[in-house]
Amino acid sequence: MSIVLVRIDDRLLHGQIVEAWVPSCKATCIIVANDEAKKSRIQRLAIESCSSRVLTVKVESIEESMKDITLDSANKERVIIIFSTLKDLMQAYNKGFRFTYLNIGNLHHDGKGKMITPSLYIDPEDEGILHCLKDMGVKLDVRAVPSDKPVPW
Amino acid sequence: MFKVFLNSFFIQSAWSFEKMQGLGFAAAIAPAINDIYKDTDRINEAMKRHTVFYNAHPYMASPILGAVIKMEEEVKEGKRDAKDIASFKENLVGPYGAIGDTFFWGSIRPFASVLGIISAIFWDLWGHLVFLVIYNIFHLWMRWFGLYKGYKLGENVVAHIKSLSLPQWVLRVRLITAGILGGVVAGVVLKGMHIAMGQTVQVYQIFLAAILAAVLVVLSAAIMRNRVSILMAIYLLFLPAFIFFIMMGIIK
Amino acid sequence: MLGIIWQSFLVSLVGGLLSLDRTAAFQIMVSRPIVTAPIIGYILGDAAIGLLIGVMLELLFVGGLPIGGYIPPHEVMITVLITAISLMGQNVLNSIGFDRFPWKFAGSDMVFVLGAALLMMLPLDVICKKVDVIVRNLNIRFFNAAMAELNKGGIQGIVGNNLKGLGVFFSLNFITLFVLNLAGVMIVYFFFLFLPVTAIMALPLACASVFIIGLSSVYNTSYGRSSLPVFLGAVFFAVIILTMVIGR
Repeated sequence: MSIVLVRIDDRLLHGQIVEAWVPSCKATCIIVANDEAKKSRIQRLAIESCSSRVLTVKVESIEESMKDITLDSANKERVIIIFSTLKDLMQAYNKGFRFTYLNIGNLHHDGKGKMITPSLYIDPEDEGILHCLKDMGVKLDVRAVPSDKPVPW
Repeated sequence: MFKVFLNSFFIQSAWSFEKMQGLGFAAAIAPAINDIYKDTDRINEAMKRHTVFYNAHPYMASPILGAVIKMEEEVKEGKRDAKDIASFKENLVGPYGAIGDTFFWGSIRPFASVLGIISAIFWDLWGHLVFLVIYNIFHLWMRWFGLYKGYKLGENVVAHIKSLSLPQWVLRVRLITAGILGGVVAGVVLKGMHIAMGQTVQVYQIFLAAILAAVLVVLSAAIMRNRVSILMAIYLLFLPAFIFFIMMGIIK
Repeated sequence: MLGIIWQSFLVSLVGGLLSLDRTAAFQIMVSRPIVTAPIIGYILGDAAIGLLIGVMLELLFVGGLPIGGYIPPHEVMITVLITAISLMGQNVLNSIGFDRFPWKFAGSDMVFVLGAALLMMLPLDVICKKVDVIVRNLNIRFFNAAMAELNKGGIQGIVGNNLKGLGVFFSLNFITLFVLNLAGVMIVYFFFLFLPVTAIMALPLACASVFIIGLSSVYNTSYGRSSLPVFLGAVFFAVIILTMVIGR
């Protein structure tokens, strides 16, 4: 199992990912790592409705997802993993999740915080996390879909 | 219910960048809310729940509308918390937008298009009718049965939609579309050569031209997948062809 | 001249109505080129050419999902404009007895005029998209107006303001079509009067390019694991069957 994309998106799974990122990353599996989505039966069903023969969509709690990606190192899935917030991502990081590239898609915070793009707002805590990630050598990439130009920040 | 069905056609009429289909959704559901609550204060309170940001696929709004109406009824009877409705809508927007986009825009529409085109090539003016009929069978099916099922099943409509496994159909329909497209290429080449060369055209010439066209199509498709927009691609193909024809002396 | 303005008016009126179907209302897909172009063609007296243009543009615009920052081409407006500009342009050229077409294709000089119209597609699209963005920016007003009325306690405001959005879509699209249509016909007119024959001869190539790119764009939307063999196999069999059925 190889991780082809780590994405922050508070809308979780939607068209930008299924229609744009999946073909461009040649992904075969999407893991939505979100505790609330895992708990809500309806949301889980809705998200998993997007899966098909060539694309598995799984909703997992952050803890499960970490187990999942470390255990099946043998299978050939190409995985996109989606977190809803940077805090969730750090939770995964603390559980041993390592990555070198992070795509930031949508983060709204209900319009509070500093606006970077119309679909990206960051609060002070996020800013701290992002600096921390940058220092660790993670390449940050702010854009909604692969065909957009990355927004420098 | 029928009014909601009619209103659902206008869900994007006042589409704006901030609220997207927010106003459209509210307008679509307004008649139902009116019927359920009857009392002005409660109507207003309920309507405020529905004038928030909302944006999914316009057809997939129907099952959501249906389910939300059902849930509003449950709220009125005191069996459900009003907050459920907001989170229900919020949770469905993303995935259903994705499913609707890939299923309707990404597979049914191309499928109906190539069928329409192939009938236009061979049966002249019937092309647009074929396209409209085939497409709208799927479209109206989703609008009407989506709304109906949504209302009947409430939030469990989600399980029903999942059982339809629309993404699986996307794959099948796309494969069929690719096949019919092959027919379109052959038809266009044959028609074009007939018009240009009349009866003097030889079978091997048709074959050569069809193979050339197919190869060009596959090649330019590969280039376009690498982020060249459709309209730019036209110029990118036109200019080299122009220069090539001048050099060959076909255009003087 | 008056005839041209009247025709433009009719075309923009119908085009403006059809354009509502694209996103604003219904979406029963009468806004697709394959439907729009024959209708415009019919108004201008040649539905068959309209259908041909419709087929070309339908192929071209089959793909194009509005995802993220990507805004797909404004296919209705472009279709209306290209159909109208080429048919009306041809009429204008005929009426002044223009005879610099090097040859005729299927007994008509349509390929040249159509080619010229097709080459104008990119700038036309840029303008049409701009207009679309303006409309969508105006729409937030209706949202705010609806909210204000709701606060005053009127549910009617919601439905009414939603429909006002429709009105704005129609009026701006209508005006844009009208202006661009007349401008396009003028450009075609001067283009053919002043350009060398070499450039005119290249115009059918533009039509061919649009066909090829159109076919590729459909191929891309149906791109999947086994679409290549299916596609090539279908081309092969279709040629065999067609040559057998229709003869050479």
